[in-house]
Amino acid sequence: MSLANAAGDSGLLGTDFRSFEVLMATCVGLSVPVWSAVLLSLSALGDHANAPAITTGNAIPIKVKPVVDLDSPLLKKGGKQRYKLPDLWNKPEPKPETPTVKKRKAHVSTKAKDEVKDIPPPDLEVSDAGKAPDPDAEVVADTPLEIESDPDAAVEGQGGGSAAGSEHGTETDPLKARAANLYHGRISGFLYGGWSCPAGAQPSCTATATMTISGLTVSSASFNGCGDPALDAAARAHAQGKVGQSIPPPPENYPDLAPSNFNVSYRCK
Amino acid sequence: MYLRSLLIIALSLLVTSMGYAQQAPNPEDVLKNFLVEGEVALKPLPKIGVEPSLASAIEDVTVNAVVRRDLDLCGEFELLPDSAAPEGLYLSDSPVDVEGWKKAGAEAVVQIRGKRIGGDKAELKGIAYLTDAGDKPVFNKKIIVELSRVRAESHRIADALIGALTGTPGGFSSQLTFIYGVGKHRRVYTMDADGHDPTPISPNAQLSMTPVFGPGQQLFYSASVNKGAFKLWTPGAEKPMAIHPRGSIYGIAFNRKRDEVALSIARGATIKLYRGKPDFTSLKEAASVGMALHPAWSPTGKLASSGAGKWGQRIYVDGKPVTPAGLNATAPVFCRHPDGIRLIYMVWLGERADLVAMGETGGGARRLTHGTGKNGYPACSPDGRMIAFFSDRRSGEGPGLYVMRIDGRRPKRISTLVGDSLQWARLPAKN
Repeated sequence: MSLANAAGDSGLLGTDFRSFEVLMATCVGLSVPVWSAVLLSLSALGDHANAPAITTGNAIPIKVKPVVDLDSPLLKKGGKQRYKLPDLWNKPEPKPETPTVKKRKAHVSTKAKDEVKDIPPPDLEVSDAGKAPDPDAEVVADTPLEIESDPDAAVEGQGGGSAAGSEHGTETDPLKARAANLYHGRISGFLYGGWSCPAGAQPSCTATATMTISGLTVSSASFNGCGDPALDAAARAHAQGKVGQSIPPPPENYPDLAPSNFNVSYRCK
Repeated sequence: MYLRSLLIIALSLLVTSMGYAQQAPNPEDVLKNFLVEGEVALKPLPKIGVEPSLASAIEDVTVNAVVRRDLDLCGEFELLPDSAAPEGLYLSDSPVDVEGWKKAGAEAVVQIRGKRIGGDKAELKGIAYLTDAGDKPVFNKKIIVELSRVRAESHRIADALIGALTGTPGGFSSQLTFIYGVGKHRRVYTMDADGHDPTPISPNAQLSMTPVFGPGQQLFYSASVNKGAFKLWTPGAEKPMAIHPRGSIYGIAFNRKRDEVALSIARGATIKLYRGKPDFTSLKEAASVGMALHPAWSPTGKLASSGAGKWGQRIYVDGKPVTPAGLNATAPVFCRHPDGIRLIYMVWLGERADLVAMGETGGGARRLTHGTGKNGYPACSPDGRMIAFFSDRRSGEGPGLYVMRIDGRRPKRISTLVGDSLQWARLPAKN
């Protein structure tokens, strides 16, 4: 027995649903198409929209005469405009700073004994001994530690300077000297920008220019040619082209390294 | 015997002075003459040695690891491997075998030491030797730091050593900030300059973009909450900052002195560039370029951004286009390189992107990456000699955050995270 029957409410047409439930389902089912029909009728789709009329003005007939231009090239069909990025910078091979490598030679030595292992190999050239060595010089070469035991030499070393310094140098800071070398390389890089040796330039000819720096900008450049017209013209144009450009700034730790002028030598290998 | 000793001394001095005369450099003389001959030759990077350390103290291990990695990442040197080090005990008090390092090919030797002093302090030392200048150190920096800051302060030792050996201090005592995440989960991160300790800053509920360091290393970023407008936020703030004119903020940039700011603000159907005071007041329109995104200041005060061109995005500097029309360029940044100021930007090539460098106001374009996936969102190191960028490359070290020299050499991955909107700023000095 169903719950409806158990409650004493007989079902419609013998089903388990009560009359009220069947009526509600019918109403809900019919409401969807009825409301759709009502809304469609309210939307008045058959009426014309109230859009503003576009004034086209008075039509003026013109005469069109097609002309085929046989001289101009045909336009290529389709395709996007293609742009090319600069090629990837190719790393040049590093050049050795000391290009000449000394050939290995056997030298005369007083330390060589009368043994087989002390005989130089047959394919090794024997160095030209030149003059006979000074016997005292041989003594010096054998006792290099004597230098450190000299009290005066030690004081000189502590007073500043570096073993890598110059006899006439005034800079006592080896780090500053190193920074100056690096800075020199950067200015060289700036100077190489836009330079290429002209074809047929004489390798023996060296043109020079003096550049005056104001702030960090090349304010002027005076030029001295070497007599080779091609090299002189290229070097003069290059030097003049640098006027107005900025040289690299000095290292942050050594702003006093900024030059006020410098000489540039142009030479083609 | 006496005469012989005098002769030895005299000859020794003569030999020494001849040795002095062999190598030049008095800086003033060095910078007076230049030779332009043939084509410029690229010099190999100088080789330097780092003294190994067998000390087991955590302070020593940390400072050695950090400084060695910074010296390697900076791209100014070629670090000799430990296997090239001359034989020695390498205890904390062992002398440096400068001559041995010279024979190994090193131009300079660096010794790094760290030790605990007292309860909560540590002493960090960086000493440099030039192998041509004998066994006396040419640079010696010592700092006392709190134990909790040993790693962070180790970067300062590295920067000082780089400064000693190149003339310009390094840029590792700094921080990176960027956006990491996809879709609705885009958060602001900060990270050390060597890729250490990536830390999320913005909350997960904010859709974040364009982070930037402002005055006093204060971090700013724009973010949207509940699909609202992108407003200006600071970390931990409960409310966004009020900005006039109103509109979604799509780009923020402070100038070098951090006394001026530029903002990309949506106005109507376009995005306009504004500049004003660092507290985001007195904002005035800076350029008439439409869709002005990714603002960036040059060290000389020029203001750049990407903007709409006829056939795609172009880079504009002070309102003038500097990239070719048709090249889809964006995300500009200026590097204050020792050779001069360089403008770096990314160029979209379909699914790929590459980095391109040119002069401050255009010209001399040079491609820095090529055929390695999407390389973009460059940021310059505080010293101007390095670029950091994100790459999704499958070759080499794989996708991640890279740093490389500004000429495109020596890219090295520092993190596996791939994000966007990268910024790099020096940490303020601490006394």
